[in-house]
Amino acid sequence: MQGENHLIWWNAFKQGDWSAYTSLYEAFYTPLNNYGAKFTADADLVQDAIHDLFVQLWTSRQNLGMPASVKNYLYKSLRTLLFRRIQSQAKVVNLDGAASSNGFHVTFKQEQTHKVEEQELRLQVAAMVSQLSDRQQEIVFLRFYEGASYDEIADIMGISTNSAYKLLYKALDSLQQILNKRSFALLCSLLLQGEIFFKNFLKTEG
Amino acid sequence: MYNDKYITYTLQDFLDDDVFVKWAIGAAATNAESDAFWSSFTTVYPQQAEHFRQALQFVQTYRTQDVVTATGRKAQLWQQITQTIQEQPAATARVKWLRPWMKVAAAMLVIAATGMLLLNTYRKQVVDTEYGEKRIITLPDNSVVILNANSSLHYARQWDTSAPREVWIEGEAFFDVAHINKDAGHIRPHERFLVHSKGITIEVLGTSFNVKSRHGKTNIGLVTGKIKVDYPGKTNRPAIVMLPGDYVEYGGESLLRNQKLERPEKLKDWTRKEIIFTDAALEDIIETLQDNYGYTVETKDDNIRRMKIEGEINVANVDELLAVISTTLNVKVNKSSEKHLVFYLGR
Repeated sequence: MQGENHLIWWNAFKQGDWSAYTSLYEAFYTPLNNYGAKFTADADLVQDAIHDLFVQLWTSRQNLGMPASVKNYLYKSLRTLLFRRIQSQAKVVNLDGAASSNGFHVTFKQEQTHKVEEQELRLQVAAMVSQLSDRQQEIVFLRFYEGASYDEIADIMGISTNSAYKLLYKALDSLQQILNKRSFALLCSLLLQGEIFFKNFLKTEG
Repeated sequence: MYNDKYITYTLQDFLDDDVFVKWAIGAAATNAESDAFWSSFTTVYPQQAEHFRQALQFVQTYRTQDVVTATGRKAQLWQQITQTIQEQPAATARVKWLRPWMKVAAAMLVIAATGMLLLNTYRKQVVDTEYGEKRIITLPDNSVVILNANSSLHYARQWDTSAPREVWIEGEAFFDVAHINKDAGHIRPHERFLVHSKGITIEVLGTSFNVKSRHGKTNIGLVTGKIKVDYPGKTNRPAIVMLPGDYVEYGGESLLRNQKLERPEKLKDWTRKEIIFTDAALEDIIETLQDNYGYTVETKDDNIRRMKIEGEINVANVDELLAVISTTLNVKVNKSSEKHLVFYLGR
């Protein structure tokens, strides 16, 4: 229903409906910022790219097609514009010019939960994700945060569905290994806690 | 819903499964059926419970990440965007050629235009459609109205929080109303949405429904949500509360029909393709030709109007529709002039 509304707005916006255009901005401002922030820590750069994106949308509205998904189209466009901005800002320009890797970083919530297991799992997932390449991290994000299919990921990132699948496959393989080791790691951490407790116990005993 | 493929599901398979991932994420698109399936997965496939749990745990843990909202800069960026758009045309280059007095005149024009614009926002917005035309309208609250041909929609250009959202409709429209009420026990004025049509008032919180008001009759069909239909100022007439699939027809002040539709989503069909009919009598098709496309239609035999085309007609324009009629029924159509059709029996 939501995607359907986006298409309705898109259609109206293409015909010059300003309020539909506003609705698109309202709906996508936050998700686009969130996605863009993964590529660069420079928030201004992301804002500039979103600015470019929306200006470009309005000025070229009559030439725009009907995308299968408005969201994917906007993500894809933001990605291109942001890379362009990042590259023009970089002192050393990549000679191959292609959309080179610009980093992709997800940070996890720091809040303390009482469940040791939950916290530990979060650390492990964070560690596993940080070991992946930037592209793999982006795929993991699009897949498990945005809920995109392989086809959609391929479309947004400008790669083939097959390589999207392969990149994620490798990422998930290392996840499997981590989770297999997990019961072992949990045991270790319990032992460690026991040791600390024992040391403290000795201290208080004098 | 037991499926052998799940017996061999590994962690990887779960994470590869689009339906599973959508459900684990809690995406709005997942339906009740898939929700019920995955919720009871571990009891149906106990052997796969471990992998299922690992996959779910991974997705949920991964999603406990920081979200950048940048809400504080939203309004400012929007202002910049609109400014850039306004400055875009080649006009910027031409300003240099203006003489001082022209600049003053231009500034005054801008001021006058702004004043007009401000006045305009308090005025009524009227949207009319021609024969054969359809329009999509986004209301100030982001509700969406799809207006069918030969119809008219009125509403205030600006909506505030002190009054209900109100629109007036003649002809046919499909409403997808934004639901802004969060506390059902306490409904604030602007959370109500009122549709007025031929003395009938439809009251809504957030829902989607079709209203058709033609030839003194008003039809209302509800697709999702809940609405109340009322005759304001007439106490002897109880309001009707409609639930999804309910369909009512009013003629003048009396309720002519109150039935349950098997597939209420069909009410929305007309908004998608140009012309859609399901199991339609020729009578209904003729009515649409007259109401939405401005044709006058003459039938040489009374029985013609009662003929029926079983199944679905899905065509792009009137010519295709007429072709379907003459190929499926024993009826010939003659276009005697641009907007006049004659239907008669015969091949």
